[in-house]
Amino acid sequence: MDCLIIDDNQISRLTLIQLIALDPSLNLIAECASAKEGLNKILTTSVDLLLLDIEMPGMNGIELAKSLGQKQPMIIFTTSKRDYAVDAFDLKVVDFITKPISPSRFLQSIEKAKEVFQQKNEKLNQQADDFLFIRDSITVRRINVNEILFLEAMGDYVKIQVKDKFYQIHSSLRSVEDKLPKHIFLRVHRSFIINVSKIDTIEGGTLIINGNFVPVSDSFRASLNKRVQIL
Amino acid sequence: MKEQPEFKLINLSYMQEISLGDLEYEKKVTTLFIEIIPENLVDLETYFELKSFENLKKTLHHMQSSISIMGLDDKLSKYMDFEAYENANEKEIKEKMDFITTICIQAIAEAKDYLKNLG
Repeated sequence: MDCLIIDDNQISRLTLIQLIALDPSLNLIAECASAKEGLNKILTTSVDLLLLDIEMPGMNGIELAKSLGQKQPMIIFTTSKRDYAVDAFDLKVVDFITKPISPSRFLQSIEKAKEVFQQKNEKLNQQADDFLFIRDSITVRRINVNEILFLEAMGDYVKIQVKDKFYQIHSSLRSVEDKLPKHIFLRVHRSFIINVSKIDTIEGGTLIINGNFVPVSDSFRASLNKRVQIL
Repeated sequence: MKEQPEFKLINLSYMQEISLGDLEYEKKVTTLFIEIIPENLVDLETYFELKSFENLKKTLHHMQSSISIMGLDDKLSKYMDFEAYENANEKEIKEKMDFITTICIQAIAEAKDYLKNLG
């Protein structure tokens, strides 16, 4: 699971890094010292689990969680104040741990997150159709998701590239991303989502899919490397 | 590492439970404690002088992780409890802060000894 720490206290962040190292299935993608910095990271990277402090200057952890809406990853709140427990659980978070966090309490919480993660993935895979419908001028057209090579954000439109042609739909890449099966598609750039099974080559910061060059940004490289499982 | 000195105030068992022998982690958090706590103590004094009790509470909250990592919770937890300040008069608040300051200053001296011992 890809984790992100958001905590304004450096000692807390260092301690959480030590705790994350206890479970090899956890991959720390970044540590952020403010909710604002964390929000930017969540919006540009794939995050499975947030270790989120509550009391922070500016935007607090609960406000951050509320602002995420449907894009909310799993959240474990880490705080030294119990007062927020009720608010926190209203947000359907995985757990609420009070500091100082013991290794056993941390690992117990991670086990809960793993269960939620597994259930979430099973549900997504069951729900995912192998086709989607798009509006192509006046026609509503069915496209098999396995035919899609990649999707590209182009202003207010999204270009859906299939083998020999493309479709253009009026939408944002983010809202299209929510409807795509996560086990097939992966975001590799602010403006690109790819069908992983269609990658021909990867070289440096570029992918080639059926002769098309697709850029890979640094912030998505780790999730791409993890996904393609290079031998 | 040399044999660990005996400490009257700091209790390193939580830090060592987290570090699992990672001395770099121990050095980093001990250094942060030594550097950050004096700044926090100045803030506490300033906010008390200004009667800015909301900021005083925030500073106490911010100190919590430093206090825990050096195992000072037993000595300071009731003084770090923000709710306990709600009904306290200024004299009582001053007494609580003086106590926190005294403990922290002694703890910093012990933390410095520990850091020296880590090499």
